[in-house]
Amino acid sequence: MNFKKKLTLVGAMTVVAAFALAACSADVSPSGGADGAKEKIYINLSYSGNNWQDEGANLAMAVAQAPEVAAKYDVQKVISGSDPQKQISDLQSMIASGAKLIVLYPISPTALNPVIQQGCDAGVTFVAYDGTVEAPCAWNISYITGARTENPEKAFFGAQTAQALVDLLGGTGEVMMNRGVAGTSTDTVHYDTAMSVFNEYPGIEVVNEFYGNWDSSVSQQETAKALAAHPGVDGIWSQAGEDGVIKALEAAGMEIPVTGENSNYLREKLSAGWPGVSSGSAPAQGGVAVKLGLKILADGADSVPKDIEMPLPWVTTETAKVCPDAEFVDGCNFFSQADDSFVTEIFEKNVLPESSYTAATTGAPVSALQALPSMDTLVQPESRRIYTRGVCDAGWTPGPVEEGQVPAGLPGCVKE
Amino acid sequence: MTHLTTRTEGFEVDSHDHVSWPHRLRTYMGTSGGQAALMWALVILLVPTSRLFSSNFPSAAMVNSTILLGLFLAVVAFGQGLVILSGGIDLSVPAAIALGAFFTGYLASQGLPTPLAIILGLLTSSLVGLVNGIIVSSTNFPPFIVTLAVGTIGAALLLGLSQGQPGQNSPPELVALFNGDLNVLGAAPSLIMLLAVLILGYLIQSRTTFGRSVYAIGNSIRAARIAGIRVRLSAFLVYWVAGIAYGLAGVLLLGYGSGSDLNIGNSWLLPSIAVVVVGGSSISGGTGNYSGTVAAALLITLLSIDISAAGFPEGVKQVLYGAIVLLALLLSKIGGGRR
Amino acid sequence: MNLQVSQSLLRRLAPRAKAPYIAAAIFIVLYGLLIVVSPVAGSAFLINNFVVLMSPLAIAAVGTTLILVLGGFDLSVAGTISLANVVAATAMQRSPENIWLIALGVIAMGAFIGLINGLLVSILALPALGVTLATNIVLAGIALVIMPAPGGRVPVEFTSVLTGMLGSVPIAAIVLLGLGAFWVALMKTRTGMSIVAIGGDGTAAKLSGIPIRSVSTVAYVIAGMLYSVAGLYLSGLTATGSPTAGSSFLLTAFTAAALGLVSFQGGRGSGVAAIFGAGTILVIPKFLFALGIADFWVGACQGLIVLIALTIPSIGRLTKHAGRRNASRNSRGSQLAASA
Repeated sequence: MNFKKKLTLVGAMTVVAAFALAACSADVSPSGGADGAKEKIYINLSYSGNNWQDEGANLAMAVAQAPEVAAKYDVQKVISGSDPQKQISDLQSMIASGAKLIVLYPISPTALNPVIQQGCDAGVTFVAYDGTVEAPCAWNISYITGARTENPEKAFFGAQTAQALVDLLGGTGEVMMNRGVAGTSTDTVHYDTAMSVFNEYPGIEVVNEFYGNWDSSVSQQETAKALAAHPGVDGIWSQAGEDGVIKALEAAGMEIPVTGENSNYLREKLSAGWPGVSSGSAPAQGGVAVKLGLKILADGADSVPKDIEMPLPWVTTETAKVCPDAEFVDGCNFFSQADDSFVTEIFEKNVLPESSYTAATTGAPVSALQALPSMDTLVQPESRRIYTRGVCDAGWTPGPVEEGQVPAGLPGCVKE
Repeated sequence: MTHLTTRTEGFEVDSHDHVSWPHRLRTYMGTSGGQAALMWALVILLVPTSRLFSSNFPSAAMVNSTILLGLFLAVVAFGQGLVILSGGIDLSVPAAIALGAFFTGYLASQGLPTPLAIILGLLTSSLVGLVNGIIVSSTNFPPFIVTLAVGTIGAALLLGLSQGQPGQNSPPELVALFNGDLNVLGAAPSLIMLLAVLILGYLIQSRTTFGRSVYAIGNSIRAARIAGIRVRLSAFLVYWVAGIAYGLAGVLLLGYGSGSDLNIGNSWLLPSIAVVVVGGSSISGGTGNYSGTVAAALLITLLSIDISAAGFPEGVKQVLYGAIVLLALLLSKIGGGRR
Repeated sequence: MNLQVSQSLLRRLAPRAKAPYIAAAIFIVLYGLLIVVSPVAGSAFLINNFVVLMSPLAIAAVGTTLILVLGGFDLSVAGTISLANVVAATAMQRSPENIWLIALGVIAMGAFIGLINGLLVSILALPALGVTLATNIVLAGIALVIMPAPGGRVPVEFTSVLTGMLGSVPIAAIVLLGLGAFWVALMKTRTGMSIVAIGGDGTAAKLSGIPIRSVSTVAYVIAGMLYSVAGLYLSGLTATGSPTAGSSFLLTAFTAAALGLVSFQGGRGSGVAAIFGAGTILVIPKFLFALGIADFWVGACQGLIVLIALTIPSIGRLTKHAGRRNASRNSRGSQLAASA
């Protein structure tokens, strides 16, 4: 390449670079006017680009930008991506910039422990939502070990949906399992607890399991492949991505019981008579996490329990009902205007009454924050601590939990 | 007239200069046409052999799934195959697929007629290829890094542009293509599409001036230039056409899943390279046959269906998948394929 | 005769001595800008944080660079790091009294992986990109088999050494210094010079009597060991194991090499420069963060900076050999570009 061409190219790149940096800097977005005077809140995502993450982040931002909060805090959203080191680096940057509160979706329950401890030592409050972290100084809010509202002894999404599937099948039949992302603790907890239920029934045979990666498209493809191998399957247990499972079943002309998470499509099908159950992870956790963090900042570290367990939503064929508008009223639980992979659980009556469809889809600030009620009803029982913290509390030791929990006999923590 | 005697595998050549069939076979296997034939043979062989993996195989559902899922892989591999043929490699695949899917869905939901939405979606995904092509054809920057960087930029821009609406619904016409209601001459649309992709792709790659120029570039740029080929233009077009192919895959995935999100392209990058390599194309460019690539796409899809059916744990599945790619490389080498 | 030819060959292909300085300059300027915008980044504590953070990538990037200089591609960096991390975390949890022995074992495992890669590429003459793609998938699968979900525990005796400080000097910085010294020393040995020669002009290298196959294999072995050291460092950084720990390194290691101005056509490149390239990759998001730039633009800015970095060698050649092309190196890129 000759001199002139090189010079032109280099010149072109410099111009592009200048524009880019200008454009990039133009997007500097401190919310609120004066900088330097306000303390900082960060909403830190790892995964992104799907409905769940988007809704969770939107609800978090909506709460964090409520007028009474925006008056005191600058809020910024940081997307770290799926590289743990990137999240470690971003957390270090946030800590160095003087963050007061970091609400995060951790990419790993363990890799962030050292940096979180660093942050705690520097006075930062950490609240992790949906995914949990083992670092003892951080707060966890998650549904992973959650129990059903009407019967708090019935715990674990994996186990409860597995039991529901067994009941729908009458105790015998072939089932397949659509798992999440291989190599994550969330997937492992769901799977292990589900298997503990399936193993109780000699008539139930798990003929195949595959990884839908919590993604509708991958779930659909993997289900299609598995159906080809097992055309006689009687039911499918699924984690997130179950809308893809349903679509694969429809393409194969099969309508068999499906248990999954909270996609709009599943609930739409349930309301039309498809046998199954919709439960699982609620994006509302993002908004609740911010409220928790604000309360910790206002009232101190003892005002909020360290381990919060969100209850499992539970929608069945009988109870699925379309909402006339954009509100969960009259017991309705999905929307007519949302797209298929929209995650419906954006409301949480008691702890997040400010939530709305608009807030979940756009992140628009809520108009007024309501006080967080007492979290005592939502404390995670010590018996389930080992799933989210990796260790049991002081005075407790790992062992099978026989009482107070259904299914009985699952690994957990028992009092010494 | 002298006798010509050569030893080939123990057979002597007879005096009429007649080459024996093992020698001819070996020579044929060394060509990319031969390797494509081998791939097709393997695919066909695997169909009854699938019984080993599941007592329900082979079945119509198995074949349908193979064709349908292999279709997506074949489309992506067309783009990647062209780029590899020209001597490069394309790491911008995930971003281009996501752009094609997102914009098609978004524009259709804004009221544009579906065909227009698709065309605009393809044009958007091809922007990634356009930038790749411009940079690679006018500089000596390595395609590996250029496509990696441009893909990263594309994905970041998409993330920024889509704030609040990552998921897109699919226009109903696209969904209808896949949901089993349509029947063209009694065959599923996916089979028709696969055949169309196979014929079109093969023609473009092997029978057009453009395609032949790509082969030439992949073999030797200097020779291509001497032969009068417009090297810069072809190198640019390769990446642009590839970008359109990835976008098309995104559109098809949008229809299949009747929806998409931003991560829809992530799982197709490494398989696209694996398929091109397994299909007999040389990784350094210059040889390859799209028919072989399509066969490899079907083969890998069917194998993955079989492995899933056998119920191995995930880690074992991956080990098997990697071993298969390695095996294919070995076979390709033994068959005399170019390095 | 061989020695003479090798020397003239090497003079023709002498690694651009400027690359480490340019790469270092880029990094230092960017980090300096970071300190300007966020003064606390200059504190010993945060510098230590940063150096520890960049170590796994820097070590991996040196391995990647070595193979690039050889003229090959090594995509198995991700799988090796994952496997090293998983093995280290599992083994160290089981027998915490043997952590250093386990570390040595992990390095030996990396060497073995590199040996397999090397043999497949050089003895069986399979294409490096395809082979290492396949071995990467296999290694990631093995990591999943050993550890299906994140877990394991790396004892504090190990992590504190890797992430700690000696006085006010980060131990990680000492490690990176040692790594740089290792590279410089390697390039002065016969093996190192042979690697450069093979990557620069394989035919000429063969003609001058360099044992291509054994040198290539040695290169892959060294690279494998470097990847496993990177995995060990990652274990020290995160204090746990995860079967997918290494997957992000697949692309970042090559980006670090590119930012270190390593040539992707072989024969030229400096591992020292790649170390700084790794630092540059990691300082860019921090710098943009300190400027307050919205999150999703960071990816776009990173991509742009990589593209700009690619133009730097051109600028170098602009000033050094204005208009004159380098000695013919059968490089596709320059042939393509030369059609002007």
